Amino acid sequence: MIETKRIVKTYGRKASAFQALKDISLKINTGESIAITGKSGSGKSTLMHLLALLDKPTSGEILLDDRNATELKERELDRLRNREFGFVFQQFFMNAQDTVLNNVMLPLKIAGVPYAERKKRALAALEAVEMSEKAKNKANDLSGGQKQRVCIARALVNDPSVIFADEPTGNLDTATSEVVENLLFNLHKEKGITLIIVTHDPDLAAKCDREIEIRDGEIVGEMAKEEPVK
Amino acid sequence: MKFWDTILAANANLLRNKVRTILTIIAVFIGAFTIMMTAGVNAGVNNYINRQLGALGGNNLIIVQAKSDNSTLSSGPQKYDPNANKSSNSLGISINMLSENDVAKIKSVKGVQTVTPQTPVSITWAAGPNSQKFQMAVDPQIDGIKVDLAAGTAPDNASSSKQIDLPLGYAKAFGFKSDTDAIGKTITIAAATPLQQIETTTVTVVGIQNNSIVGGGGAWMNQTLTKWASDATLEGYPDSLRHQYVAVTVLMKDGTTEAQLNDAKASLQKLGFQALTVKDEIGTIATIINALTIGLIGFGAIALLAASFGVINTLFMAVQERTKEIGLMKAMGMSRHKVYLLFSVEAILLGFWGSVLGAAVAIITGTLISHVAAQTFLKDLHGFTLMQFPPVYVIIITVVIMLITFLSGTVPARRAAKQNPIDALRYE
Repeated sequence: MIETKRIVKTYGRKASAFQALKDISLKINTGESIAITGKSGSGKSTLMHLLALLDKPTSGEILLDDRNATELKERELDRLRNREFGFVFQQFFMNAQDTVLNNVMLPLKIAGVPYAERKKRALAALEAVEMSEKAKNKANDLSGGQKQRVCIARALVNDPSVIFADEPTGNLDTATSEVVENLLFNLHKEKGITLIIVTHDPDLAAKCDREIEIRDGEIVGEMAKEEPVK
Repeated sequence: MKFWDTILAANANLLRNKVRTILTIIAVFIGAFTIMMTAGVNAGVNNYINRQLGALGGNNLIIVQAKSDNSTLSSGPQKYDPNANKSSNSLGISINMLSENDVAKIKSVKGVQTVTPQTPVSITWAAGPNSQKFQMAVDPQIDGIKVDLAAGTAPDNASSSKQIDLPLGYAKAFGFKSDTDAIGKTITIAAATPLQQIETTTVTVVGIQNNSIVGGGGAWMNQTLTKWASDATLEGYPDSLRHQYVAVTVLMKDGTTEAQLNDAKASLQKLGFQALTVKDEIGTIATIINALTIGLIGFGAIALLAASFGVINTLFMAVQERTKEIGLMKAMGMSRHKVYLLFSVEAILLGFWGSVLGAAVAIITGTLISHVAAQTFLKDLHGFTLMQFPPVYVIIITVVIMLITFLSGTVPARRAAKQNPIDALRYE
């Protein structure tokens, strides 16, 4: 469970200070899927960065399974992100010259997992996104949809409890978006992974259990669905 | 990230931009090569000098001479002193000689074991089994100096038989099959008395010596033979002339420390003698070689300084190019110090490959040069390898260069480590 208590994020100082987030409190349950929506500049990405512990709030607390994450040391935060979180980005961020397999293995390499196990787990993750036959290809040779599937495999490989997806379909056409979305929601359901998606695509947002709309750093709307869309 | 993974990752990162990496390595290589070659020459020359002097023996010796007075020009005519031992040579310059009295004084200095007068000895001719007579320079064998031998042993000063070590090449001229064939066999040596009468004696060849840059290059004779030659050449001389020496060699007791040696040297100087240790004597050669080495290493250091800026530049470019990748890795939980380590290892690897390449090329070139030198301008100095590359030198130089490139890499590595994952991922 992730909980934020009255978090504020301010950029700059004094006269030029800009409040990107104003007093946000919310609760995300384990296994839930949440969409954070809003226009660009609304503060939705800032909120995701804070939830993903990539940044610290100016004030307020973030609780992760009742532990106060804002008090953790940098090293503990690093370890937490490495073990518990998976990331999917709009621009993929893959090492283009490296193989698909090496890209997927990266989080495990950072964790210090031995090579043999790294490979086994990465192949299993690629299997889950139906990309195992591309394991030896260069990341550069893949299409956009394939790249995003590899990125999902990479986010999945360390068996995370939460996956953060920042505009995961922003660079994809409708058909491939569909594939990637289905993949994310299947994982969410089958493995009980908490899914936090930042998007301005209303269709994608509608597929989530809950939608939080941000405007000018504040929550302006919260919509929960009775039953998740299949 | 495991350390081995870090090294592999760093190496893979360097290979991503091969041209840039190779150019940087070449810059390091030039510095490494220069320093390796210089160290190679230094090692070769020092090794040769040490071998020539005998690493153990030479440190126990002091050469003592009477103080020379070069004051004739400055202080005008000097009064005649019948008690001073002087010998005038043909140029009219007088040299002070040491008397038996002086030798006794020298013997009384603390720590002195033996005092060997350096009698100027010469022989008229030497001949072997083929009875052909040859001129040959001779030197008395001095205890404590190890002779650089090609075969056999050094002449034994304690022996009552007459023994000699021949320089390379003489054995064949004398009619022996080879240098080693002459060992244990006898030759004839002749010396002329002041009245030009020839006296001959039979001498046993006990060893063959390598040609040497120290010492006169003459055949080494043991004390018994030296005494015979000296007696023959000074036959009929009065005792006062017979017993005066240009110099004496003082051998200190076994286990003399450097401090004790210097004390003895100071005492001898206080007694009014000129005293030089072997170290003083080779000091000049060593000083020149070392100055040369320092100069050349200076050039290498300048090349390395330039190369280290190349390393800094290369890594800054790499950090710039891989901003997003760094951001991603940090988001995935790679710690600040692991990012720092990754870039530092890249810097160290540039140094490593540069010096390994430098060492390899230096060893190949050095060996070739030594080989050519040994056949041409060093032909007469047997056992002189111009360049030597002891593994310790190579390892030390490599480690120092890796340290230099590591230090160059610290600034870019710190910049990479400090990067904020969010900013890095936003970076376009």
